Amino acid sequence: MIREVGHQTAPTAHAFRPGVPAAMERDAPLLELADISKHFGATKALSDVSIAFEAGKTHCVLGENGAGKSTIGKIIAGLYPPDAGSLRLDGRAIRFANPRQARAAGIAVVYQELSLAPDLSIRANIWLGSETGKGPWSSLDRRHEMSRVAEVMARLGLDVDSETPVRQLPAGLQQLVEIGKSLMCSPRVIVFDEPTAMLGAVEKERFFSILMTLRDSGIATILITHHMDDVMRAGDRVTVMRNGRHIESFDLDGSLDGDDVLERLTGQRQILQQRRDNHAPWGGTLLEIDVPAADGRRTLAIRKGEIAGLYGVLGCGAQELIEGLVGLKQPAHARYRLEGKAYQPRSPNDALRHGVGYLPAGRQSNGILPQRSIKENLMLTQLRHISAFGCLSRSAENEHAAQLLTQSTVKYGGLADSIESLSGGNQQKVLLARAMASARNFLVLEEPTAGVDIGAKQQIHERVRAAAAKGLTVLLLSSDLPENISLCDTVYTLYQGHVVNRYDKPDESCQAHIVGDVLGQQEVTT
Amino acid sequence: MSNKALPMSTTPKPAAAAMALPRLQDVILPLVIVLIAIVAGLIEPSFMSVDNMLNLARQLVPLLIISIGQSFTIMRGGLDLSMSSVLSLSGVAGVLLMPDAGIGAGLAVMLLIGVAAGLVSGLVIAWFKASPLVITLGMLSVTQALALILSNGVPIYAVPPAYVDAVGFGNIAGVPIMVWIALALALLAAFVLRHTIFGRYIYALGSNESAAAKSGINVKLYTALVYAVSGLCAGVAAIVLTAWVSSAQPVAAPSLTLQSIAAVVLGGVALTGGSGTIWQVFLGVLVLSLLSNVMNITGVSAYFQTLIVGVVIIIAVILDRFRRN
Repeated sequence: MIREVGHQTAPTAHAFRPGVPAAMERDAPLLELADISKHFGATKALSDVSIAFEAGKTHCVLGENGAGKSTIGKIIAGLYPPDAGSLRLDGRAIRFANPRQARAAGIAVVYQELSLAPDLSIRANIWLGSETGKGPWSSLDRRHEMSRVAEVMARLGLDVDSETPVRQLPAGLQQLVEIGKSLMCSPRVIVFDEPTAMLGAVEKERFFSILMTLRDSGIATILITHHMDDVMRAGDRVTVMRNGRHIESFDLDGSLDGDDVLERLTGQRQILQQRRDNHAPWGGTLLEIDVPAADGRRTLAIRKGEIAGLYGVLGCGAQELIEGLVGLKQPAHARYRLEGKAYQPRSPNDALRHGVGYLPAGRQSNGILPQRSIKENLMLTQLRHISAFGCLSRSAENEHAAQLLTQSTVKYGGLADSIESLSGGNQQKVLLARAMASARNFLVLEEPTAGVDIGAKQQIHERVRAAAAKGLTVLLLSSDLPENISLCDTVYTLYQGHVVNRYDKPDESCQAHIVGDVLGQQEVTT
Repeated sequence: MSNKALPMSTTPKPAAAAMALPRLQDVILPLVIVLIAIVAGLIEPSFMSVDNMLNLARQLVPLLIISIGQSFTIMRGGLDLSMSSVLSLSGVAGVLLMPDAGIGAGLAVMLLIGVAAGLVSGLVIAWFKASPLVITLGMLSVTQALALILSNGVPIYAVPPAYVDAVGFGNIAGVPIMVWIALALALLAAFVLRHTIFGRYIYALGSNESAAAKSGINVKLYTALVYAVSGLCAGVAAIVLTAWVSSAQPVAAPSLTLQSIAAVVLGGVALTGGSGTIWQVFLGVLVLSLLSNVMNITGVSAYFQTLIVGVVIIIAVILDRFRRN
């Protein structure tokens, strides 16, 4: 299956010891990448990248979007062949023609977009692709399958009936099934591509503890991520990537803190907690949300120009509050008042007419119109203002669009270019501009910076702060706690459908308290 | 191109470069059309005659009108399988009314029935989030049955001669009136898609319905409108067809629906929705009609014609996959 290749592909013959002081003793790496380069068309995704991964270590590959870290994962997984350079497993050169060969060699990948069949059971999903039969008509031995699945599930601490359809599991458990699937090939290397992107705080903790178990069993676990928190929480060693280049690799031994790593990542020291403090004085109450609290009911009064965050784990009820506000659902337990009058939109269309801007989570599934131009994507909520009797004015539209894009610091070629010609961060800025343009009364943001790089994240935050300073009210639903703390004037914590606490002007010292709230560990004093 | 070029000149926008030259996929179909025409002219010189050209223009009118309606539903990310039978029902009902109520009332009824049938399909699809395939299949059966019931299953030949002479065989500036009707409809459709909010929302809904809905687009309203348009086109096609064949057939042109889907795909409109132009639809219709015309005048048997059209459609879809990859 695996074609042995010589070393002729490696342009240089020097011994491969990346970034390790000679004095330090290091085990022979399990998997080595040597001088890997990869082009996509004219874009150089990777240039001369060399990394060594050891067994029994969690190695984080950290970089912004477009840094080339996902490409590394895909080359290891056998999805793409490298243009130049070589891979070595146990010191032997390997080259995979497809992911199946990589699996056979003991390299498994857990992708961000889960590859599960939602209607099949956990058992069937875990076995998918590992079925023991030879041809399409060979029968499946259910008892053997069940016992093997029970083994895998025990290893992951997954305590659910293995006949449950995967669709019925929450996202966090679905990911465990995906990991279980990867364990079926008895892997020696597991690559996790942005594993924490869709997990809440509790699920993240569970994921990390499983990651440690796998690591301790001798597997080389590779974590591809752009979250500093993941690195600090789980990494034994980290490789920093920038612009397709390997910047440096170093061990995380407790002497480094997040800011040190961030400095090496971006090449400059960042001020993570950049708070806004020069906002205009708040106006009166704009929006009142009447919600259940542990001791009866409580009204969240959100003022003009305030940025308010709703924070909690999956299923805490924050999602329902937001969906009610934008007209996607009628909330069962919440009532809204907008400027003192009862407010309950029947649809997002109705909410739009009330001057509510909405940036939904999920850029691909709920955000962009993939085949359409930047301009059409941007102007989707604005068409009524640039038309007469349903006919669009092209000149007014172009002028308006160019203005919005400049305000939002979007880097683009032309208005008529496809939205997909933009980077993820710039796409997100377009979507933010689209939502903000229709926000006369207030703006609802769901995961506004998920999957964008640090630079774009800061620009998005600045843009939201600037709008709030001019009097726009913003509601934030984000699973990123540092984002809540740095962006919001007020953070409300939720747990099991109840509002737990309110934090005004939160800072880092609130973090432990907030996490306690949302995990239900906080005694609520009445 | 050269790596020694000045930095200034090495940064032309790729989009600008692509726009200067027409893309291969945009010229391939016109080239095929010219090729078919040249070959046909060489085999059968009468192909190039003015008579045959006018004949070809007449022949493609019903398919063009139906395909325009069909393309709206496809760009929206749907499909309308009921168009042929809505056409039949419109034709039968309108022609039945004409002797008593007058030509104008008959025409109005044809258009109204088309819009009503489309609107019902559209409302059901929009409100119940139902599959367009199944709902329009149901509508096909309902309208077909109504057409048969109204006509007692036999063609109606009592069509006012004034109407037949004008719409079916009249000319303006040497061009048949029915061709003018199709042309006007095509221009109107192109305008709606390019320059109106409705057009923009059709593409948005076809491209990503969830994103469109969450941006505040009234999904139900615009979905219903899209099918009203396809119904309206079936009504217009009924006007043209009943005048041309001087009768209302209860089963008027059953293959027209599938041919319209084929023409839309052949023209390069993505079946998944979210893109496409009326120009592409026109090219697709032209290729199918041209093939059929050429095979008619060269005496290819009807059975072989069906076979060849089927093969052309399958090849077109395969080519489309390559083009997208």
